[in-house]
Amino acid sequence: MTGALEVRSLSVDLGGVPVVADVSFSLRAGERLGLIGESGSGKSVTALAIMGLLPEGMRAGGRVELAGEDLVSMGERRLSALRGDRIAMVFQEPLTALNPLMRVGRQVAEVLRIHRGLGRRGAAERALGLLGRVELDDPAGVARAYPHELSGGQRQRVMLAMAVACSPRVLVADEPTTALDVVVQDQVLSLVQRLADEEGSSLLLISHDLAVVARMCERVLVMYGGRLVEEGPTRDILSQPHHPYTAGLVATAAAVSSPSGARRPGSLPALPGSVPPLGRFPSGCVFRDRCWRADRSCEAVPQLCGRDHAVACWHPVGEGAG
Amino acid sequence: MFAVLAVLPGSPAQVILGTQATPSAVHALSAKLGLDQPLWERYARWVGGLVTGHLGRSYISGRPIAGQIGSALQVTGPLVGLGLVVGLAVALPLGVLGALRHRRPSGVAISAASQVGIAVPNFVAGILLIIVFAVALHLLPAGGFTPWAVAPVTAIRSLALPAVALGVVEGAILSRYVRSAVLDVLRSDYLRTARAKGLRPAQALWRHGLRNAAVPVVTVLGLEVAGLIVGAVVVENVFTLPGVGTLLLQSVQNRDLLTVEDIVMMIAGVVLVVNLLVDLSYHLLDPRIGARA
Amino acid sequence: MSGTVPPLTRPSLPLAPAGEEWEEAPFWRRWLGSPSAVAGGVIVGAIVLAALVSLAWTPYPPLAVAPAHAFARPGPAHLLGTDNYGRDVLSRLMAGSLTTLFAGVVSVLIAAAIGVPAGLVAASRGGLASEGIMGLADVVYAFPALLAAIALAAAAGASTLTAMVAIGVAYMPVFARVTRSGALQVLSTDYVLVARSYGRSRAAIVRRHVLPNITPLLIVQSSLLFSLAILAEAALSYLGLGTPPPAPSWGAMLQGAQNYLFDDPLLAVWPGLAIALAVLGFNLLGDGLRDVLDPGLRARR
Repeated sequence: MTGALEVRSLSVDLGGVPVVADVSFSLRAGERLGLIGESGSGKSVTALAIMGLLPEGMRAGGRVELAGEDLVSMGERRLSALRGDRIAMVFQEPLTALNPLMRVGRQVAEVLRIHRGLGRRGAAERALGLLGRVELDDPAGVARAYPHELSGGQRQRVMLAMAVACSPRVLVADEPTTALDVVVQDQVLSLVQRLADEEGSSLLLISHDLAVVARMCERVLVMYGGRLVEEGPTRDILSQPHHPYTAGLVATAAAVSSPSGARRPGSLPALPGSVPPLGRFPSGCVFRDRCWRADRSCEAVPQLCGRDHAVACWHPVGEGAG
Repeated sequence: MFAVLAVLPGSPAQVILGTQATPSAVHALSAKLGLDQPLWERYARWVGGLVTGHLGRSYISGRPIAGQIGSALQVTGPLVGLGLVVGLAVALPLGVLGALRHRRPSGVAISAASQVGIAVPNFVAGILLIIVFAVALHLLPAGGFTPWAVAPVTAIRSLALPAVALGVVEGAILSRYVRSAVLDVLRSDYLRTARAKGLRPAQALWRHGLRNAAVPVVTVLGLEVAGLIVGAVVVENVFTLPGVGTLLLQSVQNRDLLTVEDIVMMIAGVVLVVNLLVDLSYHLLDPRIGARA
Repeated sequence: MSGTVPPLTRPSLPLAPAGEEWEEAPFWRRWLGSPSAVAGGVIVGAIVLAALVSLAWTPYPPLAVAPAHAFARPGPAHLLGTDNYGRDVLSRLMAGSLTTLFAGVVSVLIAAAIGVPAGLVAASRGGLASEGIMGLADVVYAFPALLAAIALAAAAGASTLTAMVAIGVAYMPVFARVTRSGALQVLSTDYVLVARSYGRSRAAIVRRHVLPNITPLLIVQSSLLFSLAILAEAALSYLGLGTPPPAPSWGAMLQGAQNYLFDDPLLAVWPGLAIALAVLGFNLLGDGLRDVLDPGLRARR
């Protein structure tokens, strides 16, 4: 079975230090797949590696196949032709992700001029339509505005309009609502879901927030220390996490959302220690220095095992693990 | 400034007549020059003159100062203009290249070269240029100036070395700002967005980067122009050009205080105007600033 | 729901305390890790050494005139040759380094002595005092330093002192600005709030918290201003408005050599090189110190 996007043994290193290691997954056509992990887990780097937009100094290895073509080994010219057209991305911070000195209408129209060969006027008209589709109240007014003149929610809608302008097969959204207020967050998430459905785009949603992923995605990948530690249907992962790290995450989310545990929002009471800095992860299982189940067998790297619900752990929690 | 110059010891009349002059002669000359009037009255007349362009007459030569400055400006103006052109021609390519290659040896070499360029004062650069191009190669004059009206080509030739001495040094300083501005843009989120839209790296930098990089560069450009003008004062003396700087130095040596005051105020005024223009262009370049103002 | 998940306990594997390896390396090691700081340190060190040695010894007396030996080429007798009066160039360069350093120190001290207190007052008082001080600083800053020095020389006569006073006053705003913004940052921290809450006086807070924290900033700024001061002193001496001859100063040596460019160009090269090297040294040192004293500094600025 070939999905919309096939990621095979993707790795990223920064000057010899692995940032992402051996990540493989498949994004099926029309699917909404979540990628979850704490900051520093490598999830954003994974997204940038897929787009071929890694920051300077980082190098990707492995394969990322989009409709049979490998993006990792592809030349910049061909890659540019695909970006924004077949595969698009929404970034976390819309204020800095938009050009501060260009009216947003032009920024949306630019995508259409690049990939659809539209003239200035034609692209501007289509951009207005797109701004309307992302539920902006006054598309003409927004198109004339500069990014700093818009609210956070409006800016992220503009980013979405740019991303879906060419009906991409794959839409990558990296923490699209983290920078927004709670109420706006909710609206933007609904919009992302609706647009992905309408355009027939597969969605890779990256988030640190279990609740966001639970609401949006059918399937979830859990990332820690640059590796996938668990993968499975959202419902299974939430009810029966197999990896101790996932279990900790789920417990934390539950504790935070329950009244008694809500005293220290933002802290992770169930996970001891903190994510080590880059290059300081232990050898073998990356989680073993924070894991209560770790023993000597964890000095070897566990593989992701299991068919539908897979886990990379020598001592998975509960039963039914591969 | 006027007050400082007027209050400090050494009356102009005393200087003009020398230390051997009798007090009565000094007094008579002071009266003739209007120096015996109260300070505030002289100050008021001087400010009025500045505004109307009547800069008064030199205490020493008795010639109108405005005319002297005017002819000196025919040298200094083109010199500063050419210096700016040279400076930009050095700074823009070096700065952009240095940013694009900042991790490679060529980029590091550019950085090191600009660091050295900053350390060479323009008068030292001028003398080195004279040694190379006038003394060793006999290509260009070591100094002096032929008026534009007499021989325009010769005039340009006599300004070439001074303009390079002036421009290369300011260009080295400016190139570091250009480099860091371009580096900031290269690392910006919006440039990544531009590439995520499907622009190739060079296209993205051209369409989304240049204007953003221009904002901080224009800010320091104002300071650079001020640096060029003050630098011209020194460089003119290296190449014995009859510009504003030479006039200023002569006036200082002759203690021709009124001329010194006029020139100093003129230069300060030009610097002020340049800074104002920079502020204005800043508003045109960056819509965020207009919104806050 | 949370009951089904076993509580995560303390890690069973021994863990190094988080971040131990990330602790700051000792000062000298960080210094050696910065190429700018090393290069700048070596150059500045050499100049300081030359200046100190010149106090006790120079190959020849720097002012000794020997017309018979005028324009001697560099050689064993005179390493860098002699000038038009037969004075030994190396000796004059060494003695000139003293003038240069002296001018730099005094200018920077004048700038700091006015600028730092002004910045501290502006930061801790705020309001009208702050606006007045910073407004005045802006006006002074807009006035080119060299121009101020020339005007002062016109009024008070040319000397090393007038040059240094003018340069020091002209660069005072740089100190005022850096001090103010650094102090404002410190004053907005929580530990200052705590100190304030148990009744420490403003002066005590400035002394105990603000000054120690902004000292690295001031040291970096001093090094950069030092190079500007050297530049300005050299330019003024070159123009004949700084240190008057025959006292050895690099700018004046350059001025003297310019008359003989066609006969002996090397005579102009040595002082030119010395000036450029000194400016380069203090610039590199300032840049390097910025990295060494506070790695986060560069990112913030």
